[in-house]
Amino acid sequence: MSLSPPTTVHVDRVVKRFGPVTAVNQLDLQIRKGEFFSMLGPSGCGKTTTLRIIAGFEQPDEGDVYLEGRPVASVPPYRRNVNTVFQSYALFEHLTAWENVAFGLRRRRVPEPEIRKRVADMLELVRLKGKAMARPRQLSGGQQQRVALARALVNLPAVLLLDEPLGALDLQLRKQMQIELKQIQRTVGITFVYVTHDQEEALTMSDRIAVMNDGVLQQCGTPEEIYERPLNAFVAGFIGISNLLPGVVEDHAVRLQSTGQLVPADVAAYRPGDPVLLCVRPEKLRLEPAPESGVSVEGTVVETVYLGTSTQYLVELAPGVRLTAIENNVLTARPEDRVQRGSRLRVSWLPEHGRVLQS
Amino acid sequence: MSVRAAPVEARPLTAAPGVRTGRARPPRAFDRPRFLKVFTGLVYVYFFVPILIVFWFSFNSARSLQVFRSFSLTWYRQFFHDPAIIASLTASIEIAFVTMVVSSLIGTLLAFGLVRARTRLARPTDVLMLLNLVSPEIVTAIAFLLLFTQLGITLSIGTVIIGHVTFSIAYVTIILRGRLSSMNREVEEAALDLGATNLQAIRLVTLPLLWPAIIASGMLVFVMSFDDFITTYFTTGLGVQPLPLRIYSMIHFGVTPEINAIGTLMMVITIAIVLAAIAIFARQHNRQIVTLLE
Repeated sequence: MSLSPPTTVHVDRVVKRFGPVTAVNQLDLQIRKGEFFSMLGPSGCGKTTTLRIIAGFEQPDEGDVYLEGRPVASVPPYRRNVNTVFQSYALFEHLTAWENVAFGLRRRRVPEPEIRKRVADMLELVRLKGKAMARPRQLSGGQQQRVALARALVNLPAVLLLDEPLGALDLQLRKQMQIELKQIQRTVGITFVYVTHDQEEALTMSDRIAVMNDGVLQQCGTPEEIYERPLNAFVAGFIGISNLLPGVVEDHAVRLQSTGQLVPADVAAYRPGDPVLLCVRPEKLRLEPAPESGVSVEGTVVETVYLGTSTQYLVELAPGVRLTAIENNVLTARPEDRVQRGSRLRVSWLPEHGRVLQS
Repeated sequence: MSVRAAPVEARPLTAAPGVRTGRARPPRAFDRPRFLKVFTGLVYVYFFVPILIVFWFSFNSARSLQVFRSFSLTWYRQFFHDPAIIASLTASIEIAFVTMVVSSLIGTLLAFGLVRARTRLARPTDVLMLLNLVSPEIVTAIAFLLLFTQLGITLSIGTVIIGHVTFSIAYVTIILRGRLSSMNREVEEAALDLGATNLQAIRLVTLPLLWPAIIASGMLVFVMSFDDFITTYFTTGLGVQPLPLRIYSMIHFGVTPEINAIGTLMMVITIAIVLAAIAIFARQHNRQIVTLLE
């Protein structure tokens, strides 16, 4: 911890209830200065509530939030050094793009010449220089999104909170904005806390991701950690595609429930007899008639889906137990070599790619 | 209402060439009836002919309400030289203006309460407000008369205003409630987020967004108060008679063409107010008001 940058946002054992529902439960987060931090989870998992608690729109029932080391429980939203990009953009319809961006600086009584300079710079950063005098409804969705971003960023907050800011954009524009957002974040060096339910978006942009479900933090780590070493079945299932095979722990191996086969895996954290799930990512699976190494199970190809850059295979090991495997359609792969539907084959993987999770 | 001409020519879509269908053209799912234009025209005639007759005969030089002799401004001249009528007109405008201001204020605050306050009282309050809207005006008017008499309050312009405000609040609240509930709360939160205090957020963000609805409802209330008869009749005092009552008492002594002139002027005032408001908001690129008026 001593080597990493100082903590900008510390969410300290926060609990938030709405009537009988606990929206956020004992949440602990340390968000470091200058990082792109994502909160990822299905809708209703408490990620937006957490964001609103940091912004000051909601008060936690228990716990506290520290911004730059100071507790902010009693600080109203307008005196917190954070700014928000809202899901709906929440632009001021009666003001021009320029006036929208200048709003925060005006409230903070920044001298007029400085306002003019900072707003101009910010509009340039988000590539809206020519649209300064346009009103929100005269702008496209992507442009409105950028005004919302500029309006928040121009205040140079300690933390920028973004609540699914790309949710309303079409796929093409979303991809483009993801890269743009990441670049802007690097340019300004401000801590971003980004809420999304789109796992791909979180993987693309984040330095670290906090995966949440039912108000409880499931795992917090870099995209690679989250993807390669999920801590539980929820994280494994929510991020990317996972094959989850139920089994029972035996000595240095898991006995699969479906086939009774014993497959080697790292079970150091478990005791023999524990019910577990063996998790293997589809791209780690190899389809071959006779495996040379690693763990292998036998099955029948029941479906092949051609996806352009890759082909997805559905392999049935036992009735109802299926594995998804993805093979890249690389240079050397020829269509006639592709595995046909109905063929029997062996699916293999390296023992270290099988991750044992609590069931 | 669309009055676009229906396509004159329609090619048969289902019938093959040479096959007799027994009709000039096949029916289409959303075909416009051919007499639609005529029907629409008749509706407008029904709307406007009485008004046009009033307008036309207000310029009649003769006293007759049947025969138009020649163009003259006699009745307008008579109107403007009748201090009693001018006093009535002024009184009506005063009443309408105060009613507009007071009920806009109360109605807007009530709408805020109904939409924003997280209270169990919101529902019953809402119902009570609507009840006021649908209750027969004559009943409320007589109730006011009884109340004022019981309390020993002398009837005056003040009591008329109280009566008008009461039935006007509901209109303001309904319009404002619609606008408020369609307004995204995040917009106000954005203002707070950018450093505005609660009061600044209302002044700089909420009110500018609500103005069109407030003005629209205010105008509606002005016009309704301006020509209200029933409540005015029961709550007015011995002083100056508001214009609708003045017209009514003039008719007691026979309908004179002067009433046509007054009617025309009232129309002009009303339409001018509405047009002025539309113009203001058209200039501000705000289509809200136009939608509300439609």
